[in-house]
Amino acid sequence: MEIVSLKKALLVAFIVTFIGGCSTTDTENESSVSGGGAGANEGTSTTTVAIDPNDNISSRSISEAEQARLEAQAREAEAMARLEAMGRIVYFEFDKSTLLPEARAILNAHAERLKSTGGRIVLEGHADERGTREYNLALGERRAQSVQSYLAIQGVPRSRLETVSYGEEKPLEYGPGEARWSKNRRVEIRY
Amino acid sequence: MIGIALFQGNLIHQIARRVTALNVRVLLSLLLWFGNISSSYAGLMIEITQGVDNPVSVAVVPFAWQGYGLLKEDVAAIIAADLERSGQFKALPREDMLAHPHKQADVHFSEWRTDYLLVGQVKPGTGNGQYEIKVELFDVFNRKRLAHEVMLSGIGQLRRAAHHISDLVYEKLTGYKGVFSTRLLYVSVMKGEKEPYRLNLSDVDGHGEMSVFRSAEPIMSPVWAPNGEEIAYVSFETKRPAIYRHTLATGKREKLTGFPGLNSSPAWSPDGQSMAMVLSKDGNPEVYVMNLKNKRLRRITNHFSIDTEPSWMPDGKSIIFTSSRGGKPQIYQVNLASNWIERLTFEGEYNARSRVLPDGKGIVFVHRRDGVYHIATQEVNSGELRVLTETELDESPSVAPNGSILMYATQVRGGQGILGAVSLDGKVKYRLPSGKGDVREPAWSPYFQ
Repeated sequence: MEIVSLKKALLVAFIVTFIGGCSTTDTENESSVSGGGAGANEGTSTTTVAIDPNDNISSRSISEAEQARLEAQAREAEAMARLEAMGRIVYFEFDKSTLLPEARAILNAHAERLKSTGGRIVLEGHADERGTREYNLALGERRAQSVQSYLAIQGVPRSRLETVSYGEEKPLEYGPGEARWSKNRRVEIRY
Repeated sequence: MIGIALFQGNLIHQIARRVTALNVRVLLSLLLWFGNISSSYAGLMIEITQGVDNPVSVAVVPFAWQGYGLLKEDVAAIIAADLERSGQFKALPREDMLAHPHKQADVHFSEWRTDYLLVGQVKPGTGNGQYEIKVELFDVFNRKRLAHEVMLSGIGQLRRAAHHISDLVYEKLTGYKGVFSTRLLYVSVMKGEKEPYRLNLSDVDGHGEMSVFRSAEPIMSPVWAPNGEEIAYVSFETKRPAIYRHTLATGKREKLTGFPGLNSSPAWSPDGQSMAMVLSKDGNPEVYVMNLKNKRLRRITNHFSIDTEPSWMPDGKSIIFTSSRGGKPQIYQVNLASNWIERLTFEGEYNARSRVLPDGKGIVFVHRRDGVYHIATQEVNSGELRVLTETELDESPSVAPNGSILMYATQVRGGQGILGAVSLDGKVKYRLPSGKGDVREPAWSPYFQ
């Protein structure tokens, strides 16, 4: 029963993250995450901007630079797709902040990517609506810190892992019932 | 705004005892359905779901208007609705009134069968843009005038004047100060809108709703300063939580904290000089007290568990807070002079977000029982716990300044967040469903000067 619902939750997480694509770093609003492939392009466009200055000072022809840029973009897209397949959300049990076994595989994939690419990520902790709001804010932070510690143990510097808790203020699904609550007890990994 | 020119008569303690004596049995059935008396803002409405067994009857006769045109507000109707909302009074329907007296000379006690009678008149005041309101309260059985008031009201302040009269009548008849002139601060969420998170202010009857602050990101934990002029809250407007202090009259905002991690649960000290809050900048959620003049922080708790939701004892000498140091969240009290910590709640597996009653003799908090969240109250000395609500997912209790009633957040079927109220003796219950959106985290104002 529990395993089935967890599998379901992971499946939904996968669908949510896949459809949602990678949100840009400057927006954490759920409603703004939309439009399938557009999201993934937005995610990689951040990297494109970073190598643009090299284009300007490079002696290579525009077409060569462009080709390199496209290749990098493709590699990045592939890496992101692998991550999306794993998921960007890990789930927790009620009133708990300890990682579930399912979370480790997901976090390992993110740890690998982070070690190879650099950059900062935000670990966004959430809680379900049961219990008081301020206590849930603290619980959401605990969950984000669990993920932070795990990633740090995998070799990602803590300085690159920021945590923020929204408590029960930003549910993925509104309304009562364990099916919804289980999706809201989560940490979202945001690049 | 409202000035009392004359006051006559003493508190009738005999009547106070009588009202209390009537509140014997808990009435479980629905007593009264109160229709749509919402404002044009389509804000909160009132539904009385439970009142006392034998409410005191009062006739509030329509007030005479001695000016030109029509009066904007039906002052008598507002007073009648206020008194009924307290659950302790039943107002006589107008169609059952045999006469409409406006002053003592016109009152014939034989025409009235209610316990009390309130009559009044409104006329243009001598000052520009003012009304003069005269009211008289009578004890019908003893054929005696209990009070006589003359007050001045600004033209746009008639509703406020009516609530003020309700406060006076309530105090005269029960011995307890009325809270009809106080206000409510709460968070409202309008899903799908550009700035869905709102911090709203309204009268306690739900009228006059207005947004004090709007944001695309969550707003949490609104609280009042003891002077009623300032509020504080947590806003995520920068995508990170921060505590803001906000002056209502000017709209001026000041960011008090924006530390890494939690910036949560502001709570003004009773003297208004400091603020308790929760910060996790040192790695763990702990209670701190900030001196609001020099912004200096003093760390109060030091434990690896979650410490949060501070609330001050009225003497300002100790703070009660939620801690999971015993494994599950429970309420603890910390003495600010000695840092001595004592556990207050033992019944149940989850007790959190406590608030202290104005007299300091009791606390209210969220209490989980059989997986369901209720509002409960506990006497500080005896430790006796009583559950006050029977709905699920009840949270965020906030006590009225007279200590008689509290407002809390709950959900109706379908998950819409609404506000509910319950008297501390559990006998009176009403709800304030919102016309639109989810409403939560009520904060009942102090008395205004």
